[in-house]
Amino acid sequence: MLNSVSTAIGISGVSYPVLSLASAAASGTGEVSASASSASMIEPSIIFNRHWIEHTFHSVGGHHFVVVMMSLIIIAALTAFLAYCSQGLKLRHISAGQNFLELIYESLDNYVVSMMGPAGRKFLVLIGSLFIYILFSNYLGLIPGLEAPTANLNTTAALALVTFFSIHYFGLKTQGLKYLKHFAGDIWWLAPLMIPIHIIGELARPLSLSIRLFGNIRGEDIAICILFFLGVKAYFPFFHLPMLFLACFSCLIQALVFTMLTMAYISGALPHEEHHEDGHDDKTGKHSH
Amino acid sequence: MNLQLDLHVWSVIFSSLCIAIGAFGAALAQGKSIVAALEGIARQPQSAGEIRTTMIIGLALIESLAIYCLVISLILLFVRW
Repeated sequence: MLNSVSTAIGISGVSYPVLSLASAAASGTGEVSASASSASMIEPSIIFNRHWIEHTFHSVGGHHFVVVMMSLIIIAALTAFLAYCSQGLKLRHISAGQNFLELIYESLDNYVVSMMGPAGRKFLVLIGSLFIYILFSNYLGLIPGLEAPTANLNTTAALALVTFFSIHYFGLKTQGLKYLKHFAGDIWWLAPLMIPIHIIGELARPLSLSIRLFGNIRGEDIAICILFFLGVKAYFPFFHLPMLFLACFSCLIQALVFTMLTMAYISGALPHEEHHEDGHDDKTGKHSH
Repeated sequence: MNLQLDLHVWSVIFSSLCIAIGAFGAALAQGKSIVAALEGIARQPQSAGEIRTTMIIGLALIESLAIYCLVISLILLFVRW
């Protein structure tokens, strides 16, 4: 189902009679036919249809080669940059690259610790890599000719599945079988009702994570593209600039939101120390009396 | 007007209605939550950081509903009927 929906919205296998119909009506040709194709209207295939990379590397068996190649571009660029910057690490008289990497590491560390506390520092690797990958893939869509990998449901679903499995892995690892007990709720006779509700709630998390990221990035890209082609038609191709600035901000926000929700879910699965603190408060209250 | 054209016309109309109503509800809800967060920050500026992170998470959860509407309208527009 996931693949079919993403195929429908994604890159390949889409027909656009509706859009060509709408643009034909907008351009005032008057002739409305399902296969309308006049040179004056915005060619929807430029916006939504096959990408220029997919023209050279034909999609085989329903695989999305554009997304994979864009992901590979990001991975290769990041790997090359990190390999260049992490040459000759020193303790003092550090190079500019090492300084930059330490800046990134420290800010990510502050971000994770401010959300999860010092106990969350061991999740820094997971959260930081998710953040950097999502941020760079969001920004890749703003470069003309390239496409954001997160503007495809397959990529975001993969990222959300990583989050989903890591939530339950860390929950089971730290709490053991007690973690499964919280699915049943507090009241034992409500357990037949609470278990399906909790399971549906757990399954809704990766769904909402993936669809949120996908919809935001895809919607932004479509809006930028439509505004750009509107400007091209008006001989003033700068209509999309405000949307570009908004997208620069919103890409960062989406990466922040994804990692923030991941941290909230993971820290929700970890054993929390509230009972301990409550007992401590009670003791101090007794002492004061 | 054959049946297929009717389907396309209806899908255009209802996809625009879908995103309009979804954006309306999400905008109301986000405005309410931002008002509450700003009041909290104005009363207690020292807890601005916690309020901001909680507000952003809540905004993301609200916004996902509007995004569902966007996805539904995209499906209505672009799926081959």
